[in-house]
Amino acid sequence: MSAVLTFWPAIVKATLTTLWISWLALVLGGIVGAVIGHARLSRRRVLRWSAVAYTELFRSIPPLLLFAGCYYGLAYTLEIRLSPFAAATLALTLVASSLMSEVVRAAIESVGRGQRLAALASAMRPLQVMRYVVWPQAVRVMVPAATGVYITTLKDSSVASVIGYLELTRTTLLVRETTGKSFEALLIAALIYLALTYAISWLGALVERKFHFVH
Amino acid sequence: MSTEAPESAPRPPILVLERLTKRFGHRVVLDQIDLAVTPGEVVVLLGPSGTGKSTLLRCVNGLEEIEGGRILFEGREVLARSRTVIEIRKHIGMIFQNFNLYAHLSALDNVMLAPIKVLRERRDVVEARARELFRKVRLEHRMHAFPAQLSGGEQQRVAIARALAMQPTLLMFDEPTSALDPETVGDVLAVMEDLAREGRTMLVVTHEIGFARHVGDRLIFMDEGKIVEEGSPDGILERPKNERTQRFFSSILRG
Amino acid sequence: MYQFTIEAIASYFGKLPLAIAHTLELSILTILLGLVLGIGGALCRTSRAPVLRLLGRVYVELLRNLPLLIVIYLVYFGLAQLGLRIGNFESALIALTLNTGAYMTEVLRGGLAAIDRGQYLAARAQAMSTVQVYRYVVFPQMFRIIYAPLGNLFISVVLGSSLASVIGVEDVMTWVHIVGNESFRYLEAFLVGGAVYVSLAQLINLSRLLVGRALLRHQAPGARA
Repeated sequence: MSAVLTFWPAIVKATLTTLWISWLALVLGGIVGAVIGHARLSRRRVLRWSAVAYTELFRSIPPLLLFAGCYYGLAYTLEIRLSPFAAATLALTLVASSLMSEVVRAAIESVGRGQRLAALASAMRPLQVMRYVVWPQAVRVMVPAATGVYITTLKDSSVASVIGYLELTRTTLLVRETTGKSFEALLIAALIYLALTYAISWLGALVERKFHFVH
Repeated sequence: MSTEAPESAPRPPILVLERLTKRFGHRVVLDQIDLAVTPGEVVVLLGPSGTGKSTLLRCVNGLEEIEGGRILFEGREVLARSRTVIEIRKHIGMIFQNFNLYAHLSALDNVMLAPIKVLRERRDVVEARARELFRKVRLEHRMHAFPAQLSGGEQQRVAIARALAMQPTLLMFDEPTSALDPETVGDVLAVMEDLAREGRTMLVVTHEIGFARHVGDRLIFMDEGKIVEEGSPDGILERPKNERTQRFFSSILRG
Repeated sequence: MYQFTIEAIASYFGKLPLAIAHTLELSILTILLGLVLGIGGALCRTSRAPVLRLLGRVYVELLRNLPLLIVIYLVYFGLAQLGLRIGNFESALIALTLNTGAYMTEVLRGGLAAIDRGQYLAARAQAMSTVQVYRYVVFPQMFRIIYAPLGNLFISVVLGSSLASVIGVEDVMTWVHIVGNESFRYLEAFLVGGAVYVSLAQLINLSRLLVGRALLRHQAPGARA
């Protein structure tokens, strides 16, 4: 075990990298996902169907194919040579955005139609209705689901190892190759992933409770 | 808006519906409705459920689009998709069957939101008005409660205060007491009666015959999207001319 | 300018059916074995023995929170170090099955929990044996509840099978990688591979919708839609 542990600085760095890229994907994916989620509820059929197509597309492609496409595909085809970090972030963001679009959509729909009618009846413009009535409530509803999406991106970030991005899985594989101690290295990685997902769940529950207190 | 006793000159109608027609797919929900409401009048719409009465209210403030006819509010045409409808909504207050209070805001904030954000009035002015309205609906002690903590009757009274806060010239009530327990119905009707006595113009859809008789100036009986009979409360209730009206009232009064 | 032509990779199409077959083989076996594991897991979690309940809970928590890739590597490399040498297809199958079994456990458990206690009582009161209770009353109702999340799970399995390529299983993902690297026509390879996965996923999706509609039609009149 000690052979693996001598690499602990690299492992710590890799852990932080994993947390960071997953968080980045969550935030960026959240922004894109929010746009798509709104489009999904639009009155215009074109917007609705585009949103559905987008979401379905990224739910039907394996993350590995997406990562490979962003890294190798763009490099070979369009001569866009993204770094492993950029490619991984792009791929993860695409996945996160399709997940978040569903989260946003459900959250908006959970705010009853009646409240929207009442707001419109008070001469509020659609954007005001969103800003003062719908979004404040939707954001609260989204927290548990968004936590789930964060955990999913955390797990999917391990696939970035395949394109050479130095996150936790890739680092673990390198340690494995160097020390020859596969089981210990992978076990430590597994424990770290578990710790991370639990920490995120716990934090998510904390944030959720804080929101409820305001009520 | 207080009424002075005997009006010398007839006031122009505040709301005019000309051959109003509304369809949901192939179903005609409102069939060439003609209606005029004069200022200070309390008009009550009665009739079996599903005959388009609520839809009519929603057409008046442009929440629903119409397929035929015209709606004129204070002389201006109500076009649901246009930007002018926002102006019109500033002068019409709507009270819904399900209250539709904003769940994330306190009662006080519910009442203050639209005047501040839509009418862009100053916060202290709006707050003073809001407090006065809470006094009026007898809920000053519940101003800081959230909708989830209020009973149905309390929520509806807050909803009335919320509509009044915009200082509308027309109040529309869409079955305001249908979702309430019998005990709280009286509280809400009492508030509505106060408003009528103040001389407010009200368009009320309801099943409460007692209210219609005591407070209404004019009763309109609708069935299958058409106005079947129209007249003074006593007139219609005692001597309904139409057979359908007769059937409706006898079933209500019996049940 | 990049010239997009499918013909450029046409020579590789011959190898595609085999790749698809491997993907399907892996997926179908995973689903079947995962179902068995899921039933076991669900029985554990709803069992009266605290040890079994704990076992079930630990299993689910573990496999649902670990990245699938780590599980695959653990099975492939980790077990090899402990002396067990397993082929790459088998390793992938084990890893995928373990992963799927955890999600399957939760789906089945949710389905069971959603059935009203009274159903059991009524069936028992009519002298049905345990087997009959499950066969005629519980499972039919359960299926109605779980067919949708089950469909989603099937799609996850098919997509997840692509990870088997990292340990050398020759599936569609491997095909894309080889074609792309050898011919430099990555876009075409990506699109073809992507089309395969999307088609498989949407096929499962379609089946799920059809099942849903069929179930609705067979609902007894008066029952909740």
